[in-house]
Amino acid sequence: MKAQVTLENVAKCYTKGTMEIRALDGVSIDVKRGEFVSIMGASGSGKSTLLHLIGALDRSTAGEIYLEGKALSSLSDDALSDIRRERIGFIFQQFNLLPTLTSFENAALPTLLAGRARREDRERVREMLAAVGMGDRLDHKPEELSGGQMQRVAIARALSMQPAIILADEPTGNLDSKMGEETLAILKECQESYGQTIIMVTHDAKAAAYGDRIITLKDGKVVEELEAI
Amino acid sequence: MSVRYGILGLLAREPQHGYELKNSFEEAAGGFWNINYGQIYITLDSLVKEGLVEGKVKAGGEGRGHNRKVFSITPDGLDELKRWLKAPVDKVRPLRDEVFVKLAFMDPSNPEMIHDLLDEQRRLYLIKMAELTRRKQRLRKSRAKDKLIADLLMDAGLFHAEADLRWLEHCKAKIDSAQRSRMNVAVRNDG
Repeated sequence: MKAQVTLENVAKCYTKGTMEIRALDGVSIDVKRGEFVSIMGASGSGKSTLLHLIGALDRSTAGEIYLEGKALSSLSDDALSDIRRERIGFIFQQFNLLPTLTSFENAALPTLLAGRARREDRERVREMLAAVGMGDRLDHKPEELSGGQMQRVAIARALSMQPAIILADEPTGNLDSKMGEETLAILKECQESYGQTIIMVTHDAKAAAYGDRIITLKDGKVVEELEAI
Repeated sequence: MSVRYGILGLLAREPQHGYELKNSFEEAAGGFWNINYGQIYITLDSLVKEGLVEGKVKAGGEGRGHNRKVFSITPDGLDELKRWLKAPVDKVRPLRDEVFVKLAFMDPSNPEMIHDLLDEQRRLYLIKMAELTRRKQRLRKSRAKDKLIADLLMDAGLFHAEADLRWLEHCKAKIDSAQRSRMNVAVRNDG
Protein backbone atom coordinates (compact mmCIF):
# COMPACT_ATOMS: atom_id res chain seq x y z
CA MET A 1 0.00 0.00 0.00
CA LYS A 2 1.12 3.54 -0.76
CA ALA A 3 2.17 5.78 2.11
CA GLN A 4 -0.33 8.57 2.59
CA VAL A 5 1.78 10.36 5.16
CA THR A 6 5.49 9.98 5.79
CA LEU A 7 7.46 11.64 8.56
CA GLU A 8 11.22 11.55 8.19
CA ASN A 9 13.23 12.39 11.24
CA VAL A 10 10.91 15.25 12.15
CA ALA A 11 11.90 17.66 14.92
CA LYS A 12 10.16 20.67 16.37
CA CYS A 13 11.87 23.05 18.78
CA TYR A 14 10.48 26.03 20.61
CA THR A 15 12.33 28.59 22.63
CA LYS A 16 10.72 29.55 25.88
CA GLY A 17 12.73 32.46 27.33
CA THR A 18 16.28 31.16 27.21
CA MET A 19 15.20 27.50 27.27
CA GLU A 20 15.01 25.40 24.15
CA ILE A 21 12.23 22.86 24.21
CA ARG A 22 12.37 19.91 21.82
CA ALA A 23 8.70 19.04 21.47
CA LEU A 24 9.53 16.46 18.80
CA ASP A 25 12.90 14.85 18.51
CA GLY A 26 13.56 12.77 15.40
CA VAL A 27 10.17 11.16 14.72
CA SER A 28 9.81 8.86 11.68
CA ILE A 29 6.41 7.34 10.90
CA ASP A 30 4.76 5.96 7.75
CA VAL A 31 0.99 5.91 7.53
CA LYS A 32 -0.45 3.84 4.71
CA ARG A 33 -3.57 4.72 2.77
CA GLY A 34 -6.64 3.39 4.53
CA GLU A 35 -4.82 2.85 7.80
CA PHE A 36 -6.10 3.91 11.24
CA VAL A 37 -3.18 4.91 13.45
CA SER A 38 -3.50 5.81 17.12
CA ILE A 39 -0.88 7.98 18.76
CA MET A 40 -0.70 7.77 22.53
CA GLY A 41 1.31 9.66 25.05
CA ALA A 42 1.04 11.62 28.26
CA SER A 43 0.56 15.38 28.10
CA GLY A 44 3.81 16.97 27.01
CA SER A 45 4.86 13.89 25.04
CA GLY A 46 4.64 15.81 21.75
CA LYS A 47 1.53 14.16 20.36
CA SER A 48 -0.41 17.39 19.74
CA THR A 49 2.65 19.00 18.14
CA LEU A 50 2.89 16.01 15.84
CA LEU A 51 -0.75 16.38 14.80
CA HIS A 52 -0.27 20.12 14.15
CA LEU A 53 2.70 19.41 11.88
CA ILE A 54 0.93 16.68 9.89
CA GLY A 55 -2.10 18.97 9.66
CA ALA A 56 0.06 21.74 8.11
CA LEU A 57 -0.93 24.05 10.97
CA ASP A 58 2.74 24.53 11.82
CA ARG A 59 6.13 23.83 10.24
CA SER A 60 8.79 21.43 11.48
CA THR A 61 12.21 22.68 12.57
CA ALA A 62 14.01 19.77 10.92
CA GLY A 63 13.17 16.65 8.94
CA GLU A 64 10.45 16.34 6.32
CA ILE A 65 6.78 15.49 6.18
CA TYR A 66 5.25 14.14 2.97
CA LEU A 67 1.51 14.24 2.48
CA GLU A 68 0.35 12.31 -0.59
CA GLY A 69 3.93 12.55 -1.83
CA LYS A 70 4.24 16.34 -1.38
CA ALA A 71 7.04 17.65 0.83
CA LEU A 72 5.34 20.13 3.16
CA SER A 73 8.49 22.18 3.87
CA SER A 74 8.79 23.12 0.20
CA LEU A 75 5.30 24.67 0.08
CA SER A 76 4.33 28.31 0.56
CA ASP A 77 1.97 29.34 3.34
CA ASP A 78 -0.83 29.71 0.78
CA ALA A 79 -0.23 26.23 -0.59
CA LEU A 80 -0.23 24.86 2.96
CA SER A 81 -3.55 26.50 3.69
CA ASP A 82 -5.01 24.95 0.51
CA ILE A 83 -3.85 21.54 1.66
CA ARG A 84 -5.27 22.13 5.10
CA ARG A 85 -8.63 23.07 3.64
CA GLU A 86 -8.89 20.49 0.90
CA ARG A 87 -6.85 17.43 1.85
CA ILE A 88 -7.18 17.25 5.63
CA GLY A 89 -10.25 16.70 7.78
CA PHE A 90 -9.89 17.80 11.38
CA ILE A 91 -11.82 16.47 14.36
CA PHE A 92 -11.33 18.23 17.68
CA GLN A 93 -12.05 17.49 21.30
CA GLN A 94 -14.30 20.59 21.50
CA PHE A 95 -16.16 19.72 18.25
CA ASN A 96 -15.60 23.33 16.96
CA LEU A 97 -18.98 23.70 15.27
CA LEU A 98 -20.27 27.17 14.46
CA PRO A 99 -23.20 27.80 16.84
CA THR A 100 -25.31 29.81 14.38
CA LEU A 101 -25.19 27.18 11.64
CA THR A 102 -27.30 24.02 11.29
CA SER A 103 -25.81 20.52 11.16
CA PHE A 104 -26.01 20.56 7.38
CA GLU A 105 -24.40 24.01 7.10
CA ASN A 106 -21.63 23.07 9.52
CA ALA A 107 -20.87 19.86 7.67
CA ALA A 108 -21.00 21.66 4.30
CA LEU A 109 -18.75 24.51 5.41
CA PRO A 110 -15.46 23.15 3.99
CA THR A 111 -17.06 22.56 0.58
CA LEU A 112 -18.52 26.11 0.61
CA LEU A 113 -15.15 27.61 1.55
CA ALA A 114 -13.56 25.66 -1.30
CA GLY A 115 -16.12 27.15 -3.67
CA ARG A 116 -17.79 23.81 -4.20
CA ALA A 117 -21.50 24.08 -3.71
CA ARG A 118 -22.70 22.06 -6.64
CA ARG A 119 -25.56 19.68 -6.29
CA GLU A 120 -23.27 16.63 -5.99
CA ASP A 121 -21.28 18.33 -3.20
CA ARG A 122 -24.46 19.01 -1.26
CA GLU A 123 -25.61 15.45 -1.90
CA ARG A 124 -22.34 14.09 -0.55
CA VAL A 125 -22.62 16.18 2.62
CA ARG A 126 -26.12 14.79 3.12
CA GLU A 127 -24.86 11.28 2.53
CA MET A 128 -22.04 11.74 5.07
CA LEU A 129 -24.47 13.09 7.68
CA ALA A 130 -26.70 10.06 7.07
CA ALA A 131 -23.69 7.73 7.34
CA VAL A 132 -22.86 9.09 10.82
CA GLY A 133 -26.51 8.73 11.88
CA MET A 134 -27.42 12.45 11.70
CA GLY A 135 -29.61 12.24 8.59
CA ASP A 136 -32.69 13.26 10.57
CA ARG A 137 -31.10 16.27 12.25
CA LEU A 138 -29.91 18.31 9.28
CA ASP A 139 -31.63 21.50 10.47
CA HIS A 140 -30.65 21.33 14.13
CA LYS A 141 -28.27 23.90 15.59
CA PRO A 142 -25.37 22.66 17.79
CA GLU A 143 -27.13 23.80 20.97
CA GLU A 144 -29.95 21.40 20.18
CA LEU A 145 -27.55 18.44 19.95
CA SER A 146 -25.81 16.24 22.52
CA GLY A 147 -22.01 16.09 22.63
CA GLY A 148 -21.99 12.80 20.78
CA GLN A 149 -24.25 14.23 18.06
CA MET A 150 -22.06 17.33 17.69
CA GLN A 151 -19.03 15.10 17.24
CA ARG A 152 -20.89 13.16 14.53
CA VAL A 153 -21.57 16.41 12.65
CA ALA A 154 -17.87 17.22 13.02
CA ILE A 155 -16.98 13.81 11.55
CA ALA A 156 -19.31 14.44 8.60
CA ARG A 157 -17.68 17.87 8.15
CA ALA A 158 -14.23 16.24 8.17
CA LEU A 159 -15.37 13.71 5.55
CA SER A 160 -17.12 16.26 3.33
CA MET A 161 -14.05 17.08 1.22
CA GLN A 162 -13.07 13.40 0.85
CA PRO A 163 -9.75 14.27 2.49
CA ALA A 164 -6.48 12.40 2.14
CA ILE A 165 -6.44 12.04 5.87
CA ILE A 166 -8.52 12.65 8.95
CA LEU A 167 -6.68 14.02 11.97
CA ALA A 168 -8.54 13.51 15.23
CA ASP A 169 -7.29 15.23 18.37
CA GLU A 170 -8.71 13.52 21.50
CA PRO A 171 -12.08 13.08 19.75
CA THR A 172 -13.62 11.39 22.80
CA GLY A 173 -12.10 13.73 25.38
CA ASN A 174 -15.36 15.58 25.97
CA LEU A 175 -17.71 12.61 25.73
CA ASP A 176 -18.89 10.09 28.29
CA SER A 177 -17.72 6.52 27.71
CA LYS A 178 -20.85 5.38 25.88
CA MET A 179 -20.84 8.38 23.50
CA GLY A 180 -17.09 8.00 23.11
CA GLU A 181 -17.53 4.40 22.03
CA GLU A 182 -20.20 5.40 19.50
CA THR A 183 -17.92 8.06 18.05
CA LEU A 184 -15.00 5.65 17.70
CA ALA A 185 -17.19 2.97 16.13
CA ILE A 186 -18.29 5.56 13.55
CA LEU A 187 -14.69 6.57 12.82
CA LYS A 188 -13.81 2.89 12.43
CA GLU A 189 -16.70 2.48 9.99
CA CYS A 190 -15.41 5.48 7.98
CA GLN A 191 -12.15 3.61 7.64
CA GLU A 192 -13.86 0.38 6.65
CA SER A 193 -16.51 1.81 4.31
CA TYR A 194 -14.59 4.64 2.61
CA GLY A 195 -10.99 3.45 3.08
CA GLN A 196 -10.46 6.67 5.01
CA THR A 197 -6.95 7.17 6.43
CA ILE A 198 -7.14 8.28 10.06
CA ILE A 199 -4.57 9.47 12.57
CA MET A 200 -5.93 9.89 16.07
CA VAL A 201 -4.11 11.36 19.03
CA THR A 202 -5.37 10.25 22.42
CA HIS A 203 -4.25 9.56 25.95
CA ASP A 204 -7.14 7.11 26.38
CA ALA A 205 -6.12 3.46 25.86
CA LYS A 206 -9.72 2.40 25.18
CA ALA A 207 -9.83 4.85 22.26
CA ALA A 208 -6.34 3.96 21.02
CA ALA A 209 -7.42 0.30 20.83
CA TYR A 210 -9.50 1.15 17.73
CA GLY A 211 -6.32 1.78 15.72
CA ASP A 212 -4.63 -0.79 13.47
CA ARG A 213 -1.38 0.45 14.88
CA ILE A 214 -0.68 2.11 18.22
CA ILE A 215 2.32 4.42 18.45
CA THR A 216 3.45 5.72 21.83
CA LEU A 217 5.37 8.97 22.17
CA LYS A 218 7.43 10.03 25.14
CA ASP A 219 9.53 13.19 25.42
CA GLY A 220 9.11 13.83 21.70
CA LYS A 221 10.29 10.40 20.61
CA VAL A 222 8.54 7.24 19.44
CA VAL A 223 9.10 4.78 22.28
CA GLU A 224 6.83 2.02 21.06
CA GLU A 225 4.96 0.99 17.97
CA LEU A 226 2.67 -2.01 17.91
CA GLU A 227 0.52 -3.64 15.28
CA ALA A 228 -2.90 -4.28 16.71
CA ILE A 229 -4.08 -6.59 13.93
CA MET B 1 -19.67 -19.47 44.01
CA SER B 2 -21.03 -18.42 40.66
CA VAL B 3 -20.99 -21.76 38.81
CA ARG B 4 -23.70 -22.79 41.23
CA TYR B 5 -25.87 -19.76 40.56
CA GLY B 6 -24.99 -19.81 36.88
CA ILE B 7 -26.48 -23.29 36.66
CA LEU B 8 -29.55 -22.26 38.68
CA GLY B 9 -30.01 -19.27 36.36
CA LEU B 10 -29.75 -21.39 33.24
CA LEU B 11 -32.18 -24.01 34.57
CA ALA B 12 -34.61 -21.24 35.50
CA ARG B 13 -34.72 -20.36 31.80
CA GLU B 14 -35.33 -23.95 30.68
CA PRO B 15 -34.65 -27.53 31.81
CA GLN B 16 -31.48 -28.96 30.26
CA HIS B 17 -29.31 -32.05 30.11
CA GLY B 18 -26.10 -31.89 32.10
CA TYR B 19 -24.01 -31.96 28.95
CA GLU B 20 -25.96 -29.04 27.45
CA LEU B 21 -25.17 -26.89 30.46
CA LYS B 22 -21.49 -26.55 29.54
CA ASN B 23 -22.25 -24.75 26.28
CA SER B 24 -25.08 -22.67 27.71
CA PHE B 25 -22.89 -21.62 30.61
CA GLU B 26 -19.98 -20.54 28.44
CA GLU B 27 -22.27 -18.73 26.05
CA ALA B 28 -23.97 -16.85 28.88
CA ALA B 29 -20.55 -15.79 30.17
CA GLY B 30 -19.70 -14.25 26.78
CA GLY B 31 -16.90 -16.75 26.13
CA PHE B 32 -14.83 -15.44 29.04
CA TRP B 33 -15.33 -18.43 31.31
CA ASN B 34 -14.46 -22.01 30.44
CA ILE B 35 -15.92 -24.70 32.61
CA ASN B 36 -15.47 -28.50 32.51
CA TYR B 37 -18.06 -31.24 32.70
CA GLY B 38 -16.67 -32.39 36.05
CA GLN B 39 -17.46 -29.03 37.67
CA ILE B 40 -20.95 -29.09 36.21
CA TYR B 41 -21.78 -32.58 37.46
CA ILE B 42 -20.34 -31.99 40.93
CA THR B 43 -22.36 -28.79 41.22
CA LEU B 44 -25.51 -30.48 39.88
CA ASP B 45 -25.13 -33.28 42.47
CA SER B 46 -24.93 -30.86 45.35
CA LEU B 47 -27.84 -28.77 44.00
CA VAL B 48 -29.94 -31.95 43.78
CA LYS B 49 -28.97 -32.90 47.35
CA GLU B 50 -30.07 -29.46 48.59
CA GLY B 51 -33.39 -29.85 46.79
CA LEU B 52 -32.77 -26.82 44.55
CA VAL B 53 -32.63 -28.83 41.35
CA GLU B 54 -34.20 -32.12 40.31
CA GLY B 55 -33.10 -34.56 37.65
CA LYS B 56 -35.62 -36.71 35.82
CA VAL B 57 -34.84 -39.60 33.53
CA LYS B 58 -36.57 -38.92 30.27
CA ALA B 59 -38.50 -41.88 28.85
CA GLY B 60 -36.64 -43.39 25.93
CA GLY B 61 -33.65 -41.14 26.63
CA GLU B 62 -30.25 -42.36 25.52
CA GLY B 63 -26.97 -42.39 27.40
CA ARG B 64 -26.14 -43.42 30.91
CA GLY B 65 -26.07 -41.86 34.37
CA HIS B 66 -26.29 -38.07 34.31
CA ASN B 67 -26.61 -38.00 30.56
CA ARG B 68 -30.07 -39.53 30.64
CA LYS B 69 -31.40 -36.96 33.03
CA VAL B 70 -32.97 -33.64 32.23
CA PHE B 71 -32.41 -31.19 35.08
CA SER B 72 -34.88 -28.53 36.13
CA ILE B 73 -35.07 -25.97 38.91
CA THR B 74 -37.37 -26.55 41.92
CA PRO B 75 -39.47 -23.84 43.63
CA ASP B 76 -36.83 -23.74 46.42
CA GLY B 77 -34.18 -23.34 43.73
CA LEU B 78 -36.05 -20.37 42.25
CA ASP B 79 -36.25 -18.73 45.71
CA GLU B 80 -32.52 -19.27 46.23
CA LEU B 81 -31.74 -17.80 42.79
CA LYS B 82 -33.88 -14.71 43.49
CA ARG B 83 -32.22 -14.20 46.87
CA TRP B 84 -28.78 -14.36 45.22
CA LEU B 85 -29.73 -12.05 42.32
CA LYS B 86 -30.89 -9.35 44.74
CA ALA B 87 -27.81 -9.39 46.99
CA PRO B 88 -24.96 -7.07 45.92
CA VAL B 89 -21.46 -8.51 45.64
CA ASP B 90 -19.30 -7.24 48.49
CA LYS B 91 -15.93 -8.42 47.18
CA VAL B 92 -13.82 -6.22 44.91
CA ARG B 93 -11.55 -7.97 42.43
CA PRO B 94 -8.77 -9.72 44.33
CA LEU B 95 -5.34 -8.14 43.97
CA ARG B 96 -3.43 -11.30 43.33
CA ASP B 97 -2.32 -10.32 39.89
CA GLU B 98 0.84 -12.14 38.85
CA VAL B 99 2.43 -8.84 37.78
CA PHE B 100 2.03 -7.63 41.33
CA VAL B 101 3.79 -10.70 42.70
CA LYS B 102 6.64 -10.25 40.20
CA LEU B 103 7.03 -6.61 41.23
CA ALA B 104 7.25 -7.65 44.85
CA PHE B 105 10.27 -9.84 44.09
CA MET B 106 12.11 -7.48 41.73
CA ASP B 107 15.38 -5.99 42.85
CA PRO B 108 14.61 -2.33 43.57
CA SER B 109 18.20 -1.37 42.74
CA ASN B 110 17.61 -2.59 39.19
CA PRO B 111 14.92 -0.24 37.87
CA GLU B 112 15.80 -1.17 34.26
CA MET B 113 14.47 -4.65 34.76
CA ILE B 114 11.31 -3.36 36.42
CA HIS B 115 10.78 -0.91 33.57
CA ASP B 116 11.25 -3.62 30.96
CA LEU B 117 8.65 -5.78 32.68
CA LEU B 118 6.18 -2.89 32.96
CA ASP B 119 6.72 -1.88 29.31
CA GLU B 120 6.23 -5.43 28.08
CA GLN B 121 3.14 -5.76 30.25
CA ARG B 122 1.72 -2.50 28.87
CA ARG B 123 2.25 -3.81 25.35
CA LEU B 124 0.35 -6.98 26.12
CA TYR B 125 -2.55 -5.11 27.71
CA LEU B 126 -2.79 -2.81 24.69
CA ILE B 127 -2.82 -5.77 22.30
CA LYS B 128 -5.53 -7.44 24.41
CA MET B 129 -7.57 -4.24 24.35
CA ALA B 130 -7.21 -3.99 20.59
CA GLU B 131 -8.39 -7.60 20.23
CA LEU B 132 -11.40 -7.00 22.44
CA THR B 133 -12.22 -3.86 20.47
CA ARG B 134 -12.14 -5.89 17.22
CA ARG B 135 -14.50 -8.42 18.78
CA LYS B 136 -16.82 -5.62 19.84
CA GLN B 137 -16.84 -4.23 16.29
CA ARG B 138 -17.65 -7.66 14.87
CA LEU B 139 -20.46 -8.08 17.37
CA ARG B 140 -21.78 -4.61 16.50
CA LYS B 141 -22.06 -5.61 12.86
CA SER B 142 -23.38 -9.12 13.46
CA ARG B 143 -27.02 -10.02 13.36
CA ALA B 144 -26.85 -11.91 16.64
CA LYS B 145 -29.73 -11.17 18.97
CA ASP B 146 -29.11 -10.45 22.65
CA LYS B 147 -25.89 -8.62 21.83
CA LEU B 148 -26.07 -6.35 24.86
CA ILE B 149 -24.76 -8.67 27.58
CA ALA B 150 -21.86 -9.99 25.46
CA ASP B 151 -20.97 -6.37 24.61
CA LEU B 152 -21.09 -5.33 28.28
CA LEU B 153 -18.84 -8.26 29.26
CA MET B 154 -16.28 -7.19 26.67
CA ASP B 155 -16.57 -3.65 28.03
CA ALA B 156 -15.76 -5.02 31.48
CA GLY B 157 -12.64 -6.62 30.00
CA LEU B 158 -11.67 -3.27 28.44
CA PHE B 159 -12.30 -1.23 31.59
CA HIS B 160 -10.26 -3.68 33.69
CA ALA B 161 -7.39 -3.69 31.21
CA GLU B 162 -7.49 0.10 31.16
CA ALA B 163 -7.32 0.23 34.95
CA ASP B 164 -4.35 -2.16 34.87
CA LEU B 165 -2.63 0.00 32.26
CA ARG B 166 -3.10 3.14 34.31
CA TRP B 167 -1.73 1.34 37.33
CA LEU B 168 1.36 0.30 35.32
CA GLU B 169 1.98 3.93 34.25
CA HIS B 170 1.53 4.98 37.85
CA CYS B 171 4.10 2.35 38.98
CA LYS B 172 6.59 3.59 36.42
CA ALA B 173 6.21 7.20 37.52
CA LYS B 174 6.61 6.31 41.22
CA ILE B 175 9.59 4.02 40.63
CA ASP B 176 11.22 6.75 38.54
CA SER B 177 10.80 9.38 41.19
CA ALA B 178 12.02 7.03 43.94
CA GLN B 179 15.07 6.33 41.76
CA ARG B 180 15.69 10.06 41.26
CA SER B 181 15.54 10.83 44.94
CA ARG B 182 17.95 7.95 45.67
CA MET B 183 20.33 9.43 43.11
CA ASN B 184 20.02 12.87 44.67
CA VAL B 185 20.87 11.46 48.08
CA ALA B 186 23.90 9.72 46.57
CA VAL B 187 25.07 12.96 44.92
CA ARG B 188 24.68 14.89 48.19
CA ASN B 189 26.64 12.23 50.09
CA ASP B 190 29.45 12.38 47.53
CA GLY B 191 29.66 16.17 47.82
